[in-house]
Amino acid sequence: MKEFWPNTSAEIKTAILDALSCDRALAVCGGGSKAGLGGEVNSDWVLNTSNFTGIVDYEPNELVLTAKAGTPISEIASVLKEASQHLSFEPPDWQLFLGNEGSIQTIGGVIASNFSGPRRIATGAARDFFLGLEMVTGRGEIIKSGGKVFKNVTGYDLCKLLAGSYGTLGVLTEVSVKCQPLSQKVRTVLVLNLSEQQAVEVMSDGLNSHLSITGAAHLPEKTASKSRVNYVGQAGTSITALRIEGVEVSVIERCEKLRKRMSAFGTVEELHYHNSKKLWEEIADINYFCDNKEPVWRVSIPPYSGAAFVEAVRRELNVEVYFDWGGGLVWMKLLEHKGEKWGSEMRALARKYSAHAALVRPGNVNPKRTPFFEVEDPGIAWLNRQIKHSFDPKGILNPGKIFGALL
Amino acid sequence: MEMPSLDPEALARRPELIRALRHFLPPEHVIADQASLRAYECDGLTAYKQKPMLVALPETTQQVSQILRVCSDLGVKIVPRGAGTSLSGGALPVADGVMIGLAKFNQILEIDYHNRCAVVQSGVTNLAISEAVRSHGFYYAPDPSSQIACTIGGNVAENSGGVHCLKYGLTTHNILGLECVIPDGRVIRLGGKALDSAGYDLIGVLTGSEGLLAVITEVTVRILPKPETARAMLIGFSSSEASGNCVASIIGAGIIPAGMEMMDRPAINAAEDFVSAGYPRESEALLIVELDGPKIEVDFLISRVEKLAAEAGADTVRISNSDEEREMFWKGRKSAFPAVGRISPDYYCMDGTIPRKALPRVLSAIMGMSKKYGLSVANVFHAGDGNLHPLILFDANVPGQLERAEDFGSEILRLCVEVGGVLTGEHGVGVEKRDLMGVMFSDDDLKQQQRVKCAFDPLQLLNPGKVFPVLHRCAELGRMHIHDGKVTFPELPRF
Ligand SMILES: Cc1cc2nc3c(=O)[nH]c(=O)nc-3n(C[C@H](O)[C@H](O)[C@H](O)COP(=O)(O)OP(=O)(O)OC[C@H]3O[C@@H](n4cnc5c(N)ncnc54)[C@H](O)[C@@H]3O)c2cc1C
Repeated sequence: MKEFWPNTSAEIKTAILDALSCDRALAVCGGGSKAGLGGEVNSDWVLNTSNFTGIVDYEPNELVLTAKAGTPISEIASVLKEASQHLSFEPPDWQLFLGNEGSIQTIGGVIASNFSGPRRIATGAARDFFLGLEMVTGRGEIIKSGGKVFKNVTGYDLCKLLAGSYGTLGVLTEVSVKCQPLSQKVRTVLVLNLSEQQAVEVMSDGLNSHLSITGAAHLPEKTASKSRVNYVGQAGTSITALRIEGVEVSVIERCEKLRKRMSAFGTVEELHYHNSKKLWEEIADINYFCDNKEPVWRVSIPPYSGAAFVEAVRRELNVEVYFDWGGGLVWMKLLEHKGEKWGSEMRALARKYSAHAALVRPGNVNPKRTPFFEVEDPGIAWLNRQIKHSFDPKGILNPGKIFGALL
Repeated sequence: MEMPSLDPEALARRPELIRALRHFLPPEHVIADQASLRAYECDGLTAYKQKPMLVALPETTQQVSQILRVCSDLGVKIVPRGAGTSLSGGALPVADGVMIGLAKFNQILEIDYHNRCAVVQSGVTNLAISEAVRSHGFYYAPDPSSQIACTIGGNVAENSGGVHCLKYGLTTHNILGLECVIPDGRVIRLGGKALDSAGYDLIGVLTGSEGLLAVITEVTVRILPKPETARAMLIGFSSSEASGNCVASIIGAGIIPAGMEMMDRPAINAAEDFVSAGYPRESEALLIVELDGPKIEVDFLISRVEKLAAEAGADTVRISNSDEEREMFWKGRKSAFPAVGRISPDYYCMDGTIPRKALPRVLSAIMGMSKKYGLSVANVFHAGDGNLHPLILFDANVPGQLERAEDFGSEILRLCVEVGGVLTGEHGVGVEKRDLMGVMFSDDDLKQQQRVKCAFDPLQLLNPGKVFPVLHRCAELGRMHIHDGKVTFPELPRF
């Protein structure tokens, strides 16, 4: 066991050169909030970025913040809040869900896993707000890409490759992200007692309207009953939630219009600021599936097919679900274990619906048999290997983390 | 501008290549006669001209794949071209290469309102997408000024922006899926109607790759419901500092307008002469601010911006009261380039981005350079996101002026980098800014970018001579140098 706690990019470089020359792999980690996500990294050398903290540059009027990769998200959030801004991709916090309570979520970890919350359906993912980076590649080279401005097409956008790379291409040392003003008002309109198919249709109706919906989720009755938001937890029915944000006059008017529009579909309720905030945090943080350790799939799917896909799964398996992103993100907890072959069947079914299924919490499923995710198309797999090779030719960074045996 | 040296073998194979291409393309889709080739000799950066060896006009993805296969088998270079409106020479042909024109990829394949997306071939124009979904109240958000002509494939290749990208993002934020052909001829389909897919974000790196990684054949774009209302304001200032302060205070107040543009006096007057949009000719700087959304919100924010403008010392404020009036406000800005084209035989459009706070410093430095080089300049500026478009006026027929304009331009771009900005905000590096890449990136930075190039295109046949100032062979870039396992930081704790 060897642990590196570098304090500078040069020290990271040294650690990587060390690993290269000793032919050892490095497990790259930050504050540990996402430990257990993805495949197990087979290495007893660990590189921890937790000493890399601090906000390097933040000027609210520029809407850009630059921070060391190990800076806690909580620190960034509070600095932004002072200037009435936030990271509008709503980085979710999975500590409870993954059983990592007490760990620290870092900005580097959020970016490296492209973690994005409910607002993604409206304003984008972490990758969309990721403007620039400094990193050390698997070759031990310190490089930068992007910049500290929003509009930039100078050279390839390597930031996109790093977002969602789970530490397999390089160690991020510094990141620049775009910030957005906080909304003055937040409200959520709830529609009660819709079926899953109806909910998908209603969410599509809302998202297709002029009302600028910034969150659209559906909690079936069983999931809703676990909510700590009173209205939701005690409704005794399924809940479809549509979020509206902005300046006060506009939020009030749009809520009224939305309620009118939605009353055609079912009973309508409304949540104000605090309850709204609480509900969307629960949804982002997968709070409903935190009570035990059963396997959980995260399925990204064309939003309008979300309910039909779940129905198809239900014909084979007992699952508990909820929907985010207007139906485009399905969270699915397996309530029974039907043997290891179910992993590939789930993926085959997802493929049929043009969806992509990631096993975000393996539970009692063997992650060796059913990896975190799979790149099935041979051409895409080849390109992934080529990219990996270009940054980390010896495969020393987080081997096994995301592609199983592929890389 | 130095381009990769000519490959005599490729040139000698021209007849063979024509035969091979006509094997699967109709003869009229393989353009080989010199007169017709002239139509392809340049893009929107007309200072550089070069006829291609041949032009191929495929109609299907399979044909694109066959062309790439033939070319990579014969080691022949390939340059993709959409509408040829690039302002950085990205679509400049090479004399020993085949140009692939995507003009025949002009079909809108599917519009899916339920999932808010459209699947279109890469040669469809940007505007055609919005037109196709307009009847349902939708639009495609990125709106480059060239939107009548430029193709969605070109937009993806350049990661194009528009006046509304402050609020709605650039091309990269509005793309869900791509079909493309990599240089060895394999067809790759990425993403689709879902938001996430597995593995590295290849769509992300292809967007803005300037035709160097793959030929894009199909794009799945997000479409958005059109905002209920939009209103624009014309705000005149007696100094560019004041207008810069106004921009900062609008953003500082938490308002993100749909668009926020600035023009300086020469640009205001050129536009006014051209379209009579009612711009205040006496103002030193003009801000065009558009707010969109529900009517009540727009009205509320307009009054707030009005107040902020007054506090920043605005001389004149006009607010649009109808869509016609709003479009009139925009018309001057959107035709700023041709308007400037009327007052000068030639103009050279720059495209750096700076942190907004550096605006006064950069504008006054540009004025200084204008004197130094003896060339006038008109500034249009995506003020909301810091993207500058100084238009340098010159006359190519006067010996030395083109060179002076280019030197002037490169001095502006160096300054953009110096103040914390970048060389290009939306027009791309192409051939134009290729040799300036070293101002922003180190050797190691650029080498890693080239390794990504090699990942897609190991033979380096696609769009050669663009983006990278120094060409390295892929094999050389791939080599690893480990310094005898030497540890340079002995103070590092070891266990
Ligand atoms: C008057 C004017 C105004 C402009 N305004 C703006 C603006 O507001 N914002 C902005 O961002 N740009 C603007 N531009 C620049 C230009 O229009 C954009 O860069 C546009 O996206 C280019 O599209 P195109 O189809 O003309 O591509 P081309 O010029 O043909 O090609 C551009 C680059 O993309 C590559 N390419 C094209 N098609 C493909 C494909 N299918 N697959 C792979 N590579 C491909 C080419 O090789 C080349 O490198 C303007 C240009 C003009 C002339």
